[in-house]
Amino acid sequence: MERWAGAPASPGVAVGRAAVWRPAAAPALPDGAAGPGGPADPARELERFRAAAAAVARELAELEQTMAPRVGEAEAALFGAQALLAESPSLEDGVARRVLAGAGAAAAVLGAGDELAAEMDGLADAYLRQRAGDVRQVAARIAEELSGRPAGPILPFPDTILFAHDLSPAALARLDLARLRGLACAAGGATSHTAILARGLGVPAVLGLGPVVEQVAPGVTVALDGEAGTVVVAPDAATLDACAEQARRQAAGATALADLKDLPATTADGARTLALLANLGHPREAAAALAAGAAGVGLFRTEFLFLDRPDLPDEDEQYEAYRAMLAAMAPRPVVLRTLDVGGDKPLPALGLEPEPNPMLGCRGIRLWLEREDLAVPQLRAMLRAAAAGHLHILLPMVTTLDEVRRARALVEQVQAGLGAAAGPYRLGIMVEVPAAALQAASLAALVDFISIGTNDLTQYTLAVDRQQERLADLYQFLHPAVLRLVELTVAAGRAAGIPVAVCGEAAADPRAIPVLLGLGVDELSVPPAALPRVKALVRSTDYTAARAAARRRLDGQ
Amino acid sequence: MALEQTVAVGNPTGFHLRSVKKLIELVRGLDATVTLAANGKTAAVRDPMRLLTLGATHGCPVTVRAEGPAAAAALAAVVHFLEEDRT
Repeated sequence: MERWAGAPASPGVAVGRAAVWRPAAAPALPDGAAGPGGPADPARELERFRAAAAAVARELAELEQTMAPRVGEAEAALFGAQALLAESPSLEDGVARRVLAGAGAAAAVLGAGDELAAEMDGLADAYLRQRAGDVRQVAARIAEELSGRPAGPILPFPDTILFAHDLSPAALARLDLARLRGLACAAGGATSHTAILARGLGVPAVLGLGPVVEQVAPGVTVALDGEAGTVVVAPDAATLDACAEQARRQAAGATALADLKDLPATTADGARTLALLANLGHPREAAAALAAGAAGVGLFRTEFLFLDRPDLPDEDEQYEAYRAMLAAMAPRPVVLRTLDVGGDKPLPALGLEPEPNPMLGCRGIRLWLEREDLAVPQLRAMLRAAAAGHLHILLPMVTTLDEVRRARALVEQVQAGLGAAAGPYRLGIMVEVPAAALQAASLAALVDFISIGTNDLTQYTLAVDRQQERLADLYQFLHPAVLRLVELTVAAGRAAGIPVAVCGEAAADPRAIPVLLGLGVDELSVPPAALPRVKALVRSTDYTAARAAARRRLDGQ
Repeated sequence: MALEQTVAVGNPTGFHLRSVKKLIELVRGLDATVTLAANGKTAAVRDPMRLLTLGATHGCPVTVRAEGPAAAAALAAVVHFLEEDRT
């Protein structure tokens, strides 16, 4: 028995048989040198590199699309970032220098990647040092593409624990997860992109083990603990027993959560049932929301259509996205939030002036009502898409009754302009400014539903910037003042006969959920990955106990 | 005429790979050549690997230099991004 320690990169215990992946080294001579054409032509080698780099960039960009529903937007974005690296001018410069000196394209890209990575290895910041790993992985993938070798490792056993010097997120994404129990690498660390993806996929992983991984004998039994960061080769019976016990507990927990998918979010005493919905940022996340058992989409952020581009999306582009979202979830409700930007989120196409105090500036509905070139196409696209599903329109950052009246008038005007092309809708507001909560009774009479945005409501009520690390202790959703505003809003909704949802981070926070339940909110909207956990918590909570907990919190106890 | 301004990186997690991606997309449509200089090194904004080798962490001063017809707009956008990005 031998025990190695590395970086705990993705939690979970796995026992399986070892397989070692050693990608073949790239030839140092021009790849075509041995052929009948004689020595390779530098111009041709550079052209081959460009084609291979473009192919790898395309492949990574596709992976970003296909992996998003499996691991989430943020995790999938790392493929997009690696795609960008594949087409770096500095990588091409390095390759050009090397092929002119007689190297083949594959060797040249490995050399150029190493040179750039070595520069990053020397940086003081740990995060940036880890990016050297991304550069080496991208260069290695391009070299593979050039030599026509298979893109990744083969998993020989149904219970393979894969040992490799390094494994790129792209290679990990392509593996058959039914045969992969765990991953052990010499390179990488807990903040490497391979670690992030392994966590997203639920593959236990230990990284940064060093060259020792090459010593493992193929086929030998291995126990890997991704939480402790240890790998035990040829474990004894006691170690195996402990692992089996831990694996059983993990499996029981996972099954219990999966079994919840089709059960209602009813409290343990049966006194109250909540609707659990998903917060989404892109139509392609609909699959993840449905798989997690979402009763609908409680918050769809339309910003993705507008960010990172120099122009505004036109009505038809927006229509396609909204229609896709509504159709994917039909007949469940989908809450589309109107564009929520301002001085705090730069949008090149709007030419917004930076504001001295953007959080108190022209953002959300304030900007939207000012800019008909923004509001009208967005509303036309939403109302046209309404026929595909069950449309709710949500207005962010509402402060006054007049804003809601003006927004409703605008919606009705757009609806009249569209005639039969406009589908049915409901109109609601976000309560995230204390002024809106304090006027909730008057506002509730003007709208069809209310959604409480706890992040902004907390920072505006307590006058705390949530990005300010020094004030982290003050930023508390469970502060009695914030909860009083939630209580007022819920009471207003009930009196008006309209539902009140919570869509901020508090809705997925295990400490806040019993309090929200006790305050009487009707719906919680959370990231798809949090849905099973939130449901399990609601189902194990007594409504009467939750009411008592909420009472105590309101009194500041 | 080249425009220049020095700002501190506002992102608490530094100028990392996803920020690099956003920055490149931000200036892609603009008719301007933008370079960043930090820690004695210079990188063109269209070159992600070079941008990473700048080693620009939170609070690090970065000099933004923009040239071309849209230099003023590009400079303002990049300066604002470096200060406000929280990706």
